[in-house]
Amino acid sequence: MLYENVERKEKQMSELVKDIILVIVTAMVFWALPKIIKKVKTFLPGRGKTKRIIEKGINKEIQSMVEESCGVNILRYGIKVEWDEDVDNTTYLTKEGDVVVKLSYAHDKNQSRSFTKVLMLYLEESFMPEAKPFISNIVHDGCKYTIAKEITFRKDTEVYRHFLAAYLSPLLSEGRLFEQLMKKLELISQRGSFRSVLLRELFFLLESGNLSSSVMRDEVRRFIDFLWNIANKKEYEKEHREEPPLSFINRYIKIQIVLVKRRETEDLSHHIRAGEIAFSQGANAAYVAGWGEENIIDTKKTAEKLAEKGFNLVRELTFNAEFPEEVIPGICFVFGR
Amino acid sequence: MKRQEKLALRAVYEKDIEKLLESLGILDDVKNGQQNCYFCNEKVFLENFGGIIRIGGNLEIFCEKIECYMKMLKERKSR
Repeated sequence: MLYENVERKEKQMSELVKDIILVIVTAMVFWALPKIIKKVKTFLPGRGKTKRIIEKGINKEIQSMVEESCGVNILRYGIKVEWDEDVDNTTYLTKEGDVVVKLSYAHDKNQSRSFTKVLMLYLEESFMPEAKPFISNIVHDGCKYTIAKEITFRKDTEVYRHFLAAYLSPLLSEGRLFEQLMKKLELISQRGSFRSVLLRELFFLLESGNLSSSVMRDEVRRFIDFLWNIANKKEYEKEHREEPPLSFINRYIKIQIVLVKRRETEDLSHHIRAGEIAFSQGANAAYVAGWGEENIIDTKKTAEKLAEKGFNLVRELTFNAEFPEEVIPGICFVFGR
Repeated sequence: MKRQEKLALRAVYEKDIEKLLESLGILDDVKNGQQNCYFCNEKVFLENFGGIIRIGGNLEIFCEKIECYMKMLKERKSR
């Protein structure tokens, strides 16, 4: 009798457990179902897929950009596409500049148009908005379009082609100054110093505050020329019969570039000394860089020595330096702030 | 690294344009070709609708030409 009671109770308990599990599973299914449906929809052609491709694509590139700019937030925000019909309409389109743009899927299957459209709108808002009073419009636009060029190039050939044809080419034909600037920025970007040096320095410049717009505009323009001369080293040397200056110590921007070049001697002391002198003269940062297998080894040794001497190593970056005939891996150590 | 806040960009999906315009009370105007692009002044219909922006206190429609989209970006930048 006792045994039967125990058995019945065990059976009841097991039924109860089964019921509880069933209730939990049912609740979880109902809770998760809308999310699952939403997720599945993002893979079906249409609204969800458009949103996913654009958000995911741009956010991924933003992340790389920030990483490659030594972790500084050159692009202040991530991006989120909000469909007008999903949000309360009364709160939007009420302020000056509020905008709703059309995105398509049917007429834009590879999403190159929508991607570029959203990217340009995003960059307008997110690329160093606080820099606008201090750097000229043309430089701000130049940097923005160079970022867009890099992002679209990495994204997809179609997107890149569309960006060049529809957005960049018309602007280039509008003004010679902009065209010249874009050529300089392109070369600086190809040599790997657009994000890691130029944008990084611009970022810190704006962080420092207390700036004079006119002095700064001129200084930024000269800083771009300084980086361009280094990127265009061979041509510069042909024209001037000397190396381009590697030191830029001005009112706001104070940096040293240490280019570790082909090994002719084991002695790296002149590279180390260049870094030491720069900091003693007030440099805020030194970029120790080299490309090619042998130079990378020497660059690492130089960086180690500088670190041993107590200089603050902020970041180690690897990049690909693009030359007309080849692409060479490079390395850059950032010292200073 | 922790990602910073996200910038929300408002968009309308091509199939939802009618709903948007209806909510703004201008659907019939657009269907009847009574709305012009703010930037190029060409007539805007549902087929070439590019977007809508608030400028000078008014809601202005623009067409889907990239020149007009770029003008819209410039307009926002200047504000």
